[in-house]
Amino acid sequence: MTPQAPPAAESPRRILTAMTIALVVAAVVLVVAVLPAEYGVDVTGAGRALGLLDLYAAEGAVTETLTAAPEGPVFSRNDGYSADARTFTLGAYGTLEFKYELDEGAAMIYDWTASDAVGFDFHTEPASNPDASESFEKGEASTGRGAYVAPYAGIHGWYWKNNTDHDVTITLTSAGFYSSGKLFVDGGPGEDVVLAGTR
Amino acid sequence: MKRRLAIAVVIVLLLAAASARAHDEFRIIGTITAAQPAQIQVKSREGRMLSIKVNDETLVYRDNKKVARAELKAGRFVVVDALGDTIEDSLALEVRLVAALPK
Repeated sequence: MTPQAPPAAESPRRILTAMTIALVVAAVVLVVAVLPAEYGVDVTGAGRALGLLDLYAAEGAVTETLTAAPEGPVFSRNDGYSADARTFTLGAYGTLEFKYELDEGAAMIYDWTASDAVGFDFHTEPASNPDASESFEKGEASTGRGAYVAPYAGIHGWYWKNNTDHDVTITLTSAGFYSSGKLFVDGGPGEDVVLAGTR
Repeated sequence: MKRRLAIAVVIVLLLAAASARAHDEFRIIGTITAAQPAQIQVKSREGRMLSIKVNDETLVYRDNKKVARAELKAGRFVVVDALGDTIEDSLALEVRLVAALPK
């Protein structure tokens, strides 16, 4: 049996060649893939062709901070958010008023549905002068949906009247930056109501 | 001249403030006890006696059809929508002649 010779050591020249090839490949990957995807630098145009610039743009969108402009369309607010749902029954020819207390600039969205057409009047009582009530929407309908931004502090909501000789049920759901609710039945004195949920 | 102008401005502001004061809407349900050309007396279901003004603008309905104001007669059961600063000083916008409701 002939003893095997130990493997010959790589020559310094071959090691240098391998290192050079590795460096060139790494440089190509850096320029073609890493720079466009991570930093948005696309020297060769390959980043756009391969869609790598989109990765950079998406990453930027997630990390970028944008604060809502004071007069912009986003009403960012961290407190006083409430959601509410309730059902009222109006007796024959009965009337009812339900209003939320909103500060100036506070917003809410609402949706009400009645089991029969009712007269309605969306109006306000300004905190500074309750007599200076303003109506913003009035008519007869069996449903109403919308968004509202209070032009001033006060109570804001609906006057409904049943124009039939039978009971009518009204279901109201809403969400917004209101602090309390007030109910008036058949022109009687207002009573505070507990809202379903406030955060 | 300036004084007159100032007085005029004050009058205009007072009128604007008066018009800004909104009237409340009231619904009165009950029986007419007396009817005159310019007002009707209604005994409400709660037992209150109320005088409500009527005029040419007051609409009177029966079965959702407009009828003459002369149909407002004593003994008729009505649903009145009126506007005013108080229920005692209100003007009828609409009066519906309806069947009496059970008490």
